[in-house]
Amino acid sequence: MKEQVSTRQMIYVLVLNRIGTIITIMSIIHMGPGNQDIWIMMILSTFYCLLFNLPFLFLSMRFSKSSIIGYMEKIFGKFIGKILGVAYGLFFMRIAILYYYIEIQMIRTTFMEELSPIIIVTVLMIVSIYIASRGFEVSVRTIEFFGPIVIGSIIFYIVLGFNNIDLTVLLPIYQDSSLASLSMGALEASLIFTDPVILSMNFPSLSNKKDAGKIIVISKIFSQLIIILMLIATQVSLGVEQARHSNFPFLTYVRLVRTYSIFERIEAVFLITWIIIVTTRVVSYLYISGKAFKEVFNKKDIKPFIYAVGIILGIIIYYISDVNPRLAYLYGRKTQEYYYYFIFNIGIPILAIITYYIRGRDFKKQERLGN
Amino acid sequence: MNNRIPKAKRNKRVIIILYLLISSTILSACEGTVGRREIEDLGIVTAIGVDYVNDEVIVTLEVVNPLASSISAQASSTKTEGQKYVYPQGRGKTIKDAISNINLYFDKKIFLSHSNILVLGEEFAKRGTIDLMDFFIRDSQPREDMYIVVAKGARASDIIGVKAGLGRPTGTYLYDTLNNFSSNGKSINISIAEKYRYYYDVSNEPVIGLVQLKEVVRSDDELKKEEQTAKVLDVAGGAVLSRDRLVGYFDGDEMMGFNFIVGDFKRGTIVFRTPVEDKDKKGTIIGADGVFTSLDIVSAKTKREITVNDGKIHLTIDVKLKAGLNEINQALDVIDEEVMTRIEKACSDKVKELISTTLEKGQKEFKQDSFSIGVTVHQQHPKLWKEIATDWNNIFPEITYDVKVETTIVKIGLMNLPANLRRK
Repeated sequence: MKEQVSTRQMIYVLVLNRIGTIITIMSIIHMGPGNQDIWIMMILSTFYCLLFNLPFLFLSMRFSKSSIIGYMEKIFGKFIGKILGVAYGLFFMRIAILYYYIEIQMIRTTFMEELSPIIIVTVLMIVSIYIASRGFEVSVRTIEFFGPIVIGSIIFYIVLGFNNIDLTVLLPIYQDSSLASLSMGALEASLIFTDPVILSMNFPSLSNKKDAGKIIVISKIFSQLIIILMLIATQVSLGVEQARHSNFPFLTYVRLVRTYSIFERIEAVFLITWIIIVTTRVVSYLYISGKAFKEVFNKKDIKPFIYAVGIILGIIIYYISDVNPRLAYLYGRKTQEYYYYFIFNIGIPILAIITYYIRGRDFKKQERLGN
Repeated sequence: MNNRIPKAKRNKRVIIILYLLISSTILSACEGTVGRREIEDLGIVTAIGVDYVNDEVIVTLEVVNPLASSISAQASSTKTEGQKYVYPQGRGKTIKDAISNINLYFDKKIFLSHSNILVLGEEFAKRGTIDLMDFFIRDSQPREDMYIVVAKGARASDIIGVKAGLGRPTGTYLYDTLNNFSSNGKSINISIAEKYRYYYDVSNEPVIGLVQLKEVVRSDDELKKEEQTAKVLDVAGGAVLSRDRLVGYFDGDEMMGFNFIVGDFKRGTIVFRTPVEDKDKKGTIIGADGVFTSLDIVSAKTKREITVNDGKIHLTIDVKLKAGLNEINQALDVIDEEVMTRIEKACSDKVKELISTTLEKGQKEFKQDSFSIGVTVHQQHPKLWKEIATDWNNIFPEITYDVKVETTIVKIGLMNLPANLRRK
């Protein structure tokens, strides 16, 4: 049975994915000028995000029945298409590894300090493999159910921390940064989001494909709004520099909430919100990497690929979490990361569009032949 | 209609339920690697004291004994068994080392998450704290919203264990006393997170709370002679740091000035000499005539403005107060508008004096900006700030300032004329 995803469900998937990128280590506070003007940078990045989504949107609209792997094969031919398919599969696996690693780090550092990583990895992987193996439709239904609760909770945490907020931290506005540094930061910030890839990989499941533009605009604006609120709340309560020193700035903000002696020590509640967000995010990467390999190998059943990818991820994550930790990579500045994101989010799709137009006659001929 | 669940589906459900049961059991109850924490195994800490003596860190903890309430003092077999609070002390090279060493002789596992107070010994504060404070912001157990205070003229170990507030532990007693800051303005309650927020501002030197031991007389006839004095903890004043080193103190009145300057004055009482011009203007004195007036500040707003003339920085502090007449010892007709204006002016003058004294001390004695004035310069003159930021502590003592205070009395209490004045 073909999976069907509604416009509303897809918006929730993308919004939670984008919030999940920021909520744990809030990498945006180190980008661009790295000062009190980051919120301006994030407003700017909304336009870049919309712009960077255009190549994938164009390709998805042209090849609405195919995912990225499918149309790459059509545009670049079987051989190169398959290589790109494998590359995308590995790219998604890499992101999944990174975010699982961050998740394990946060659990080990803050909530369950003495819990052995093998147990965390096993539980996380079994849960993720189970959810991903049920199919995308089941995952998005879950996200649709939890989405409003999660978003409402984040707004609730932000409101509860009002007594720690000192808005003067944001002053002076646009005096310590230049347009160039803000633009560079906005560019960096827009590259770390992978929602265009998630949308394109699941475009064939979209029940109303004409809503693609609407999905992109609403999900980006809505998620940016929540991200900016989280960012401002964190910066104005911790201060710009202290937030930069923190590994998990939003968690530190939540730990500071102490309102009317009723709402205090609420990080246990935050943990639930956080786990829902990061799990939905990593499950979506596990699913699309499984899907990428399924399409590369032209198989009908996705489950064996999800199991295989899940087990490989589990082993790698355990290795880098406990056997040979990569902490400097996790918390340090990662310039090469931007290259990967640029290549897979923008570079390859633009190349595909150029090739598509170069091979325009071939496609027209194929269209005439009904292929 | 057949309502029976197919066998395959039923098996799947059984597997899911089993999985959930097993994983929740593993996560919540297993011993060993899983990190189980049972309340009877924990030593719940309510206050932490840190001293640095002879190149060694000394950590003194106040630990709650959760079983004390169930074991009466008489029924307990040992002295400590019936005690509600115990005070283990550990020594080590680092804070973590000292805390770990406590567990070499103390049976309960130290649990710091419930501590609301961190007391730094004076000697330790003078030495500089930033290196050893790392534990409190890196480890997940100590909380960032824990108040941090310096033990004035004492070691932290002298402070931990003093229970003067209805027999409650030092941590709770001190925490609640510091929270009275919003009603007296003579102290300051700064959490670890706030301290670091100020610390990271290159132009700003943090001021944190202080605590000092005082002896008070207990007026209880039933007490023996040696019990008629008691040790209490007084939190009036503030500890002035230069980066992370203690350089001096502000007393209670200076802290009022400080709180007005930084705009943190919430509520408090201003006591000033009553203006004598209007004495017995309309009424007849029928009792002894006093000297002072007390106004309860119900709201205070501070505005700071930086102006630059010929390269010289000038600070204007504009404070607007709303107050209630709380106590008037002199025979003044307070329902006379002119009299009221004079009282308001006298209060404003007193606040001006408090602000000027504190600012003067900051400029002349400490020679550093403890008032975030550099932050104001940065916010209002960002271009100038870029030029002077690195030299700010040399510039700050030279800046000029003026203080404007405007007091408005918004209530006069249950009485109109004072009792020592007859109403016509």
